[in-house]
Amino acid sequence: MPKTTPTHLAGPARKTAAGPASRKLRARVTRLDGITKAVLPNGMTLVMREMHAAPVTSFWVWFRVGSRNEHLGITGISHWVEHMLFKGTPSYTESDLDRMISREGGARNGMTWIDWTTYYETMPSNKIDLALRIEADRMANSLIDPQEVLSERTVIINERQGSENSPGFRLSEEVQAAAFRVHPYGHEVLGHTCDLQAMTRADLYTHYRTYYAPNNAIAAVAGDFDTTEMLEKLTKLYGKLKPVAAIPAVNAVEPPQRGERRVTVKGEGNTDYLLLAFHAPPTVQRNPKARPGAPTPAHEDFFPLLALDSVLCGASGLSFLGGGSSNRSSRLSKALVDSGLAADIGGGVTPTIDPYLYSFFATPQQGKDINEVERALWNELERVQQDSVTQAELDKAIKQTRAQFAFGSESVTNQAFWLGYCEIFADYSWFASYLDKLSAVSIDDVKRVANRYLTRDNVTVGHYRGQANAEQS
Amino acid sequence: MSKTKTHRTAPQISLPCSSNIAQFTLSNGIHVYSYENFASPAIVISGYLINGARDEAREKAGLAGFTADCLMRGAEHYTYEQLFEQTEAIGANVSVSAGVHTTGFYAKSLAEDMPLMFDMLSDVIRRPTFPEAELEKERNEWLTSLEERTNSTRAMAGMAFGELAYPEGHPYHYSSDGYPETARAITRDDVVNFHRSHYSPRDMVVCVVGAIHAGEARDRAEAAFGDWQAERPARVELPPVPKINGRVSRHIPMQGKSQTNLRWGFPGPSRLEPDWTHSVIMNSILGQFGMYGRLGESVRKEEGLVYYIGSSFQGGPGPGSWQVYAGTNPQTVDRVVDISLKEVRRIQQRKVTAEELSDNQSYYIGVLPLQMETNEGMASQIMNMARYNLGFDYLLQYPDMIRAITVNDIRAAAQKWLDTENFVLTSAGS
Repeated sequence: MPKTTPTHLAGPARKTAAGPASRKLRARVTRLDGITKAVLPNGMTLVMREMHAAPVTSFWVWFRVGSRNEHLGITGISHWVEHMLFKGTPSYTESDLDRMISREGGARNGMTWIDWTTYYETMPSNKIDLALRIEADRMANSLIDPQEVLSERTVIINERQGSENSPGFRLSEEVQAAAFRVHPYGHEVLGHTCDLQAMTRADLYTHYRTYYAPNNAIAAVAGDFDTTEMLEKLTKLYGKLKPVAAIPAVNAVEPPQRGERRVTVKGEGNTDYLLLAFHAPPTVQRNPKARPGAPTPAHEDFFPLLALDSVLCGASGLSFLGGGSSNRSSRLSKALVDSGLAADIGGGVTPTIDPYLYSFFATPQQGKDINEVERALWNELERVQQDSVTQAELDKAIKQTRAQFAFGSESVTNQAFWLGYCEIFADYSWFASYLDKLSAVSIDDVKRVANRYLTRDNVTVGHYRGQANAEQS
Repeated sequence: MSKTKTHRTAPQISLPCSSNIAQFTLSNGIHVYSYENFASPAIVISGYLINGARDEAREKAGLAGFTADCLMRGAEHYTYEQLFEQTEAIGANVSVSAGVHTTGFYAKSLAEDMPLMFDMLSDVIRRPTFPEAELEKERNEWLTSLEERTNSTRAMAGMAFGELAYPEGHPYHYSSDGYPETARAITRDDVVNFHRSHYSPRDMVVCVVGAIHAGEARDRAEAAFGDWQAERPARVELPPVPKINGRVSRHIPMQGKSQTNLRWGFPGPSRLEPDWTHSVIMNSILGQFGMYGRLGESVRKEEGLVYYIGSSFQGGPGPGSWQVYAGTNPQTVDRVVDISLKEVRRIQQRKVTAEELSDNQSYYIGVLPLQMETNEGMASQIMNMARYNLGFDYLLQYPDMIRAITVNDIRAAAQKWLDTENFVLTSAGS
């Protein structure tokens, strides 16, 4: 395992003019495997990785806010606020923001998920300062103009309507809702339409002011830069931002599920879709007594589940843009696709702050009974519960992961994504030690987690029934 | 951080060009291009053969695609199971897929696994066995995907567009994915015959990018494909495409859809047109730049009518379509069409501002390093230069070509290629 070395090197403050203000901005710095992490006195986390293969740098700012921080009445608000952060500040109009990044050949976007909201720019390295300035500005000074709120409401509703066109979205939304009856993971990131119609500018602005603060943010940067200089720039821009007094805690704890849940969604089309979602463990083991900044250990069951998923559904692509290899040699593909029952299968377990879901999906082939497909899937899950997996299958999962790491390292955008993402649910060392942790998984570990989580009492089963099939049954 | 540390800087982007792309021609005429990139221990093998949906009979629509898909169902040295077991065991990817004009192939792996990648590509492209049982499995998956297509507003609006914009008999009129009736009718003999008659090394391109020396790439390509001898028939020219006359529209009613997908446009320029770059910049100003150009500004930002809208030139070897595309509430389809027509008229009638032009020129020059970040990105650029005979110094000349474009060029391109009176409009939704 790589060792973390805490230091207290004063990055920028030492290099810039001395004085009280500089000392205030001194960051707590640690380094590991070529990655430098600093925590500014205002609580903002900075994670940096130099990569000099191409003159490109990717800069991300992450906020610990997503649909997890919402309740009925304001579902979808985190995503809507993300849209509003593209609408300008007193310094930059929306058009300025678009234009300034694009004319330098930059790519930019924003994303919202259950645990986080993030914004990024990937740019030629000699232009990255622009991204640093823009993100610092909109973190503190976004206008959330009432007129813009009005026109964006229909944009947001349009986005949701576009998703509703997909049977997969409709099924997943229902399964998620059935799987969580207490925790806010139960509602879609896009929010309920009624909430999107009713929310006000005041709601949005309050949400922004509550969660967009340095002590709730992470800046992650990867690419062609000098770490000392980058730390200096970031400290200067972000060190002066004011923290908020307290970020509201999410106290919801999903009670243990005590029996199978089932949902059926009927809709257009002649194709059925199957989705099984099991409650999964948290990604990391939280210890409230740990000192701030201490490395967060993975939950003992999480990496065994990742290994199990590789065997059942194929290797996960380690690129935020998707990809990865095919999954035709995975157990579920052999059992469901090769047998002619399903046209495709997939699955995945995802790192999250609170315990989330381990899901499997399958698309029954035309004319195949969805119940038969579900039975075949259960057979495979029971097989792994009884006999576990083989060492050869585990070795394959490790080699697949090693390759995915190599592919993922080609892109600075992907590297910066992982640096920031890991800080949301654990810390940057989680990704650095990913292969080590996966390599440590044993056959018995896999059997244990298969029996602990893939049970009938812990599942929500979703069936999407295409119109014609629903009428026949 | 060490005080003695020196700042390592990336070399200025090393654009693929004639001096760093190794070029080889194998004994049977296959063109091999290799670009060394040791930034990560991975390689990409990418390339294409000259066959595709334009070579299939209309009653066999989807045959080229099905043939390509079936290559991975088994070959002389690798069964279907072995192909996927062995590639997935090393985290690699091998695939072959057909488009309208070409059939492309792709492999990605760690550099150490490159010999296996070449061996597999060679086997599936040259020596597929098309096992009957495997073909039936592939056909059933195909039929399911075609059924899913009927429930996609995007796909249905897109198919209708092709049917209205291009005449019967033109390959762009048809879906290269085929139709349920053709998917059921295609036989194993059809597949075997298509492969036998159309898979040939003639004009085939192989591009290798990644952590491998050019000489080794050449040797591997020679070993994999150098002794392949097979002919293919000369291609029939694409039939002419008549001009659209008036507004030709079709709506595909689809129950239960919250959003309607629409597109309007017409056949546009091929990639080979001399004013292609003018058209690209013009289109960027209209429907791409920043958050979707002028269309995004007026339809999304000002009116809030859509989540996405844009315009695109398909290009390619033939007159690929130019389209405005959007997803909107069923009640606001007409408004989206009206506003986008207004924007097209504006770009035809009035010169764009010098600032707009400069922003877009700057974007297209500045974005080059981002497009070269990965091995796939490099390979894509190299193959693009090869496929359209642009010359391997195209990317070196590209910034000057872009800078030379004037506001008059933009207006001329808009007037030449866009038309607000004669166009196809399709929509799918409730």
